[in-house]
Amino acid sequence: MKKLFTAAALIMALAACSGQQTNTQADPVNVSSLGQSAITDIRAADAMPIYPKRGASIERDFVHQPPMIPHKADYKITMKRNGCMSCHSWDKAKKRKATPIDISHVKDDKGSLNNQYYSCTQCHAPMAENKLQLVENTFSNK
Amino acid sequence: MSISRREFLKANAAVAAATAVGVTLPVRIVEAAEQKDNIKWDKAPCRFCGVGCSVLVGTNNGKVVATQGDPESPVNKGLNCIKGYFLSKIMYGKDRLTTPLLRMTDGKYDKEGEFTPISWDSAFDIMAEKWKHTLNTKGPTAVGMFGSGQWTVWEGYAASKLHKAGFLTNNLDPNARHCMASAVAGFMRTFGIDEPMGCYDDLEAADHFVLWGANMAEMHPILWARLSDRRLSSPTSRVHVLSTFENRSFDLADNPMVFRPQSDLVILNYIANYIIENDAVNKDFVNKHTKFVLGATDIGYGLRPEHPLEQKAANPGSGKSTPISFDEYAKFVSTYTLEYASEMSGVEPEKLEIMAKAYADPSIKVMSLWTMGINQHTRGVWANNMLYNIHLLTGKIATPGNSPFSLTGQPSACGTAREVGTFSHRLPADMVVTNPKHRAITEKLWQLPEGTIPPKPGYHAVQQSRMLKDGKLNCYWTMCTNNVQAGPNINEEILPGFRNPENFIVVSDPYPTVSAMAADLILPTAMWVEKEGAYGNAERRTHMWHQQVKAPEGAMSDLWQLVEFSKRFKVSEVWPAELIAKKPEYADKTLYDVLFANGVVDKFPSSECKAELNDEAEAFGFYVQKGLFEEYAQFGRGHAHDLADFDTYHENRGARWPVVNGKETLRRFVEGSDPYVKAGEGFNFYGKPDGKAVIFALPYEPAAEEPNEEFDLWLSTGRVLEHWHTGSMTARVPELYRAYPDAQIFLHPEDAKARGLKRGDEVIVASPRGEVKTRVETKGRNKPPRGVAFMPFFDARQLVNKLLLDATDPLSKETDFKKCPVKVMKV
Repeated sequence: MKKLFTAAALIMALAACSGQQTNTQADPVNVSSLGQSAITDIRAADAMPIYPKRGASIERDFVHQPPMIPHKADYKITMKRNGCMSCHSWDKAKKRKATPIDISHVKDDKGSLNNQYYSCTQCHAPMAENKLQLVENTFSNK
Repeated sequence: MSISRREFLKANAAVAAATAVGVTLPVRIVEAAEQKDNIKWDKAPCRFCGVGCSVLVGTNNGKVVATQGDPESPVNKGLNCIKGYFLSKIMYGKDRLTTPLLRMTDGKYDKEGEFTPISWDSAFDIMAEKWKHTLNTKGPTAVGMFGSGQWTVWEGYAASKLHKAGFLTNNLDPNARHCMASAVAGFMRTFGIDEPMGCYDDLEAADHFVLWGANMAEMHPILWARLSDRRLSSPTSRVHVLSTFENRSFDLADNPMVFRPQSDLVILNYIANYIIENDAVNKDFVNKHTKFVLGATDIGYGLRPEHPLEQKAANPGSGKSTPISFDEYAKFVSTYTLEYASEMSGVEPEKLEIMAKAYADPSIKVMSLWTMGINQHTRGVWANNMLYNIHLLTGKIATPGNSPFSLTGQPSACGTAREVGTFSHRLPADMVVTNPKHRAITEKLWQLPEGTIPPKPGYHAVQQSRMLKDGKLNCYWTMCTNNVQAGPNINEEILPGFRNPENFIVVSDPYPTVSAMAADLILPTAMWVEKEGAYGNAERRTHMWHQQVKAPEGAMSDLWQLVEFSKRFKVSEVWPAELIAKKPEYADKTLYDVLFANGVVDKFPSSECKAELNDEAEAFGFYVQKGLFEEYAQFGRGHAHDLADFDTYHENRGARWPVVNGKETLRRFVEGSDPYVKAGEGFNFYGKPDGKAVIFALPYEPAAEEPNEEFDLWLSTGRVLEHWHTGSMTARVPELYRAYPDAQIFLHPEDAKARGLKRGDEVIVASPRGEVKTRVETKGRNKPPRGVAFMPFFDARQLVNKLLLDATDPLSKETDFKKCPVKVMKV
């Protein structure tokens, strides 16, 4: 068990050994949820997200991460038409200066889209430019 | 299972193919891949929804550095959704909790004090003190736990043992009560055995698909990908989508139908009526394998008994039924005509008829799919029953592509909440605490004296909140769930109980959730691949993973917390003398000795674990996950819930129970597929003593509340693709946060205009129970009709479930989150 103690707990354990009362223990900490206000508050709404009209491709963070979309993307994906393919299909990508769909998404050497990948927005999403993070994320790909 | 990066690349011919056709793969990624030969890959189920995808988790130097779809998984075949792809980041929010935090003033516990770090030892000291005091002064009904459909199988099992056998209370309920309870009650009433008869293979075998209030494109994305593939590849395939508002699943709908809230009940009976009137009943099947009953009506809304709606109900909470003939059933549904269904639902008659025809046509294989639209419904159990009616009348069930399929919300709502039986009325393998035989079987397997398990069901989810508020439930531990954000009627029925000075509230979570903020003690928790686990998905697939990284120092798994806490209680401190007298040798033992070091759970040495890490096995000195699993599996083997042996699941990508003689079962109740159906029977609905499934005559009844002059819009709350439930994991992943940063209210543009609003305006959304501020969206992915609004509940800054009434289905006790009258006003 001992190795599981956190630093704060260790301080307390030491305090206990020295015969002091438990009221000498760690100070209160600031801890807050993503709510950013008391549960009973009616917090003002944040600004609407803004998605860029266009932008350079966004670097990926780790292997096999689906690339995020560097532009606004509310194109319709229906039975008749996949709006994303009008720029990202293999035959149009170069002309449109867009990233061609990944080889893993196609079913032949012409680049026909594998139907399992038809709903592009299941994996790819535009990134709000006026919102970065709620809390820091310490993920590292190394 | 573990493969090196290089082996995986070899297996993935795509890279080679890309080179061959001259497509540019982003160079950085390829280089990164090559540099990462030292990444170790191992399998794990996705942490999120009930689909149960498998992912490959890449670790290096004790951290997760990448995740990807598992190409060997029969569920997702290498694909993930956006949440699944970003699993790699969910454990690395900077605010991970690493020490227990107790509300204190001047070094002592104080309900109004500030969160102060304490040791695990001190945390369990105060918990044990509070629990023992409450057990001694008020008895076992004053302690309880709220658990999770995201618990691993053994966490749920350990919690169930600790409460039902240790503390002698049935006050254990999972958050799955909020999502799958109506599905469970529907299965039990119609078939007498829980969980779908079909499986995901039906997605490739069906001709037509009917989505009943399920937005699969967002909430079950990988199954939607499989369904889309089927639709796009098969010219005769059709997709019918029913919802109270247009959503992303409508994008591929051949037959889109927006219906008025609650009128699904009318549409369901109309289809049954259509089948009968058009002579499409499969008479041979119906005669041999079904029977008809008339269900009790006017059953109330699961509110507090003094609520006027309960006072008004003739048969509150009644699930009774009486046998009727086919003719009586036919007469019962005969008033549900096309005209009536169209008038009540607002759906064009042609569309309803196209759908009814598909169900009636014996040459069309139909898969029905549903989740929260049907389950979170004050008549959710009925709606489940009525869906099965349609498939039973036509005999379109349990054969490839003919599949009434109840989709699941959470990753182990099936495996843990339902199969293990962590509900307040349940025991493992569909058994219930109210049945003396079931209690006896359980007590025998658990080596407990007769009479240990209390026969009265405990408090279910909503009742727990009410009893906390009323001061009848005083020691409360929630794990792996966030009810202060997710539950209904937060202001009036949840928060008051958490902050009631009579109560001591413990919240275990990896992160400081909204619920944690309302607690008295927060316990920092290890998550996902920081522990060994097993989940059970919606198609009866049990799958497992090994611990792959260490949790942050100080964070401990739910399993460790439950088992370690049991050491704090001597049997003589918590059991009455009469019970101990039946097993006096237990008196001086601890609950740990009796429940976990019982000769069965501690049977397997830690050395049998094939993973490098297993912190729980190390802590307790035996392979605790295997021991718990094997003890638990005894309940189902030979009883149509057969699980394979433990080690198998670490080798495969899961298997669908019953697993008999090493073979999984794709479809139940049908000869040739289900080992429990004998040759010559054709079908056998063996969950019922006579082998017959039940067709229920049930009517339309109105919702608990409807919009009125002041609260003039129907509000539905729900999930979004990019976030998992309350966002405690996904909102800490920057990409997912930026993809869907804030909740908003989706409105019809005319509804917005009529209130002087335009897209982006800040508004107050109010019900009689609370208010939230949000912004108006009129052009987004959801397009409600006039009179309807939708808001997601993932955003901790906008606690929209404050607005909801805690009305439940009176049979399943599951809340209706989909029909709350609200008003919208400009700020």
